[in-house]
Amino acid sequence: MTTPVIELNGIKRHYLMGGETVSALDGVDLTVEKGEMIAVMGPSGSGKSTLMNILGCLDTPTAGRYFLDGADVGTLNDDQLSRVRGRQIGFVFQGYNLLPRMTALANVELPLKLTGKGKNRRAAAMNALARVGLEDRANHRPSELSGGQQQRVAIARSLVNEPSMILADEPTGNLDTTSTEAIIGLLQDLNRSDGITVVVVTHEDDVASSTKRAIRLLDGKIISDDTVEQRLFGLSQAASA
Amino acid sequence: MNATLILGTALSAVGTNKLRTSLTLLGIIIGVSSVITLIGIGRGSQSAITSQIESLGTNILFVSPALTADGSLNSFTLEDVIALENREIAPDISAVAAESSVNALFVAGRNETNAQVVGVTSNYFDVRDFEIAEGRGFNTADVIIGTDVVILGSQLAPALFGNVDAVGQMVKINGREFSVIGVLAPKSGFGLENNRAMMPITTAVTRVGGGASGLATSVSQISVQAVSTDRINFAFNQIRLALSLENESGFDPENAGFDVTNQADAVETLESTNDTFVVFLGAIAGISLVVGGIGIMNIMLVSVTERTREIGIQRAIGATKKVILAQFVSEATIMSIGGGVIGVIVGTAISFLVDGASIGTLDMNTEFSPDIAVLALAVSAVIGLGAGIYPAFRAAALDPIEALRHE
Repeated sequence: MTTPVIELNGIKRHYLMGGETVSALDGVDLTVEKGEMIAVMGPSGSGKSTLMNILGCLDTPTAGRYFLDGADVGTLNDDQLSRVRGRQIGFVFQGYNLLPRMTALANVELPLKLTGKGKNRRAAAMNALARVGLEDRANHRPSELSGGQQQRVAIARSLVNEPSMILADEPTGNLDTTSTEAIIGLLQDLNRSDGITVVVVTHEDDVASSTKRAIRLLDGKIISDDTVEQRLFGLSQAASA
Repeated sequence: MNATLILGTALSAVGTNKLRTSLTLLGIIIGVSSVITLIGIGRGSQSAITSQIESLGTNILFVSPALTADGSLNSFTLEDVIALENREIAPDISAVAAESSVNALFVAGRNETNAQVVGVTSNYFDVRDFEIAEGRGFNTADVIIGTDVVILGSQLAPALFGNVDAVGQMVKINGREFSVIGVLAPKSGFGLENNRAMMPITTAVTRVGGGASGLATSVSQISVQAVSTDRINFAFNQIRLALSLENESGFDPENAGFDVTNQADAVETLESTNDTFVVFLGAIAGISLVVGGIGIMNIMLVSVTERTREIGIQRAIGATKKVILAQFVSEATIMSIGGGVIGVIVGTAISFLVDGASIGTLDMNTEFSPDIAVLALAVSAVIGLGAGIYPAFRAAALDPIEALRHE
């Protein structure tokens, strides 16, 4: 048995708001194995974003432990967390979040430069662009690309560092149906062909149905954790429990 | 993470908003160029004045009449001059030259002009470093006899005779005929130096001025040359001794009847006045440099706010706080050093353009000082660094999650 990519043990995240403690995550346990593709679902306020930020090492839990590739992330300082984000995590955001002044190629190359990883950075960035089918747009700036194309550049940027996982936060939230299918198809392909672990946060059922596994959050707790077969046959763990 | 990326990001940020960058640079450019120009002008005038005074000789002492014990203004005669030439009393004095000035009307043909006649002893030319460009000077015999000869200043000669050679011509001074025996070489000075005439002191006082003759000939100032610059203090005391003995009165240091001033004192006084002037000019220019720095800080704070999301993205994909800090600090420093370099070029260019130009009667002399250029550049770099640090810290301290949410 290989080390899981993600292992969350009793993760809690409290915020202090006007003297009151708000519990965004209230004891989350989750294990994601290498090569899985998983959807995180739930209504707004359920703790999706908080979970996403913790998985992405942008936020640290109030209690509980998070092992990323077997290493305890809770002991790391800010610089080390930055390095983990750059090397082990690939972010894909709803709003693409490309740097507007840089070309597509420079955007994809940026994580390599920031983490000082790799030797032939330009070639690696070009390969990543080719992987998402945009090698002919390498010298375009984000403003010269469509939303779907920008998101593909963002995916290329997320995979250029060969991360442990890609974290996609509502990756299709700003896209039309055609582009949505293309982006989901691309993520599925990266998962199946290249064995990359993918975590997708979404509130769209058809996006969630494209993953083998989906978890559902409500009030800071995981209320269901189903495989696609269970969902197809209505055999939810929560229901059977 | 490498320096080229940090510099590249900073450069592209600086280059993105060209108008804004240019205006920010302008603040530093004005600051640095005014430091260089103003200090250049200050130092130029300082060295011009110093060199003028030093050309008179630093081993010269001036003796002028002052109040006596009874409260009346003393007057010198040639007897005082002879008293100073007593080598037994004053062994450290090598030469004594006397002068006495009268204003007079000069007429040559149709030309007439008012100018100063300076009656001098024959060694005056050596002691005070006047050169005769054409013709000849006069000797001790001319002074004793009181010959009717005159040597014209380099401006006065053409004013009276135009292009005609003045030497050998006759000129009427206060109605009396004098023969022109020479023309002085031009002397840099305060303007009047070249528009005057020199003649034997006896001739000037008695024939032009109508005063007493012989040893009673009055003298307005005595120039005393010491044997060397380091013997000047001895010469100073010997002058006081010689003049006190000659007056047969007891020596009263408060009201001796004469003042002795040193050339070096004058240089020192002027230099210290001028130093204050240069520091004052530099301070004004320095203030504009600081204002330029505030401009950089202002624009950097705006830039941090505008690029909050960008900072969040970079932090999410692996940038450490140090990287963000370095990007903004180098952006501010690039602007200030860029502005500094342009400012040095502009300031130097203005210094050279202004050099030798006249504003009214004032001749501008500028002196380019590489040390000030280096200093101004260094100060602007430090100001840029200082102006960049606070905004950069704010950028680095941003919470990545908040920054990513920023619209």
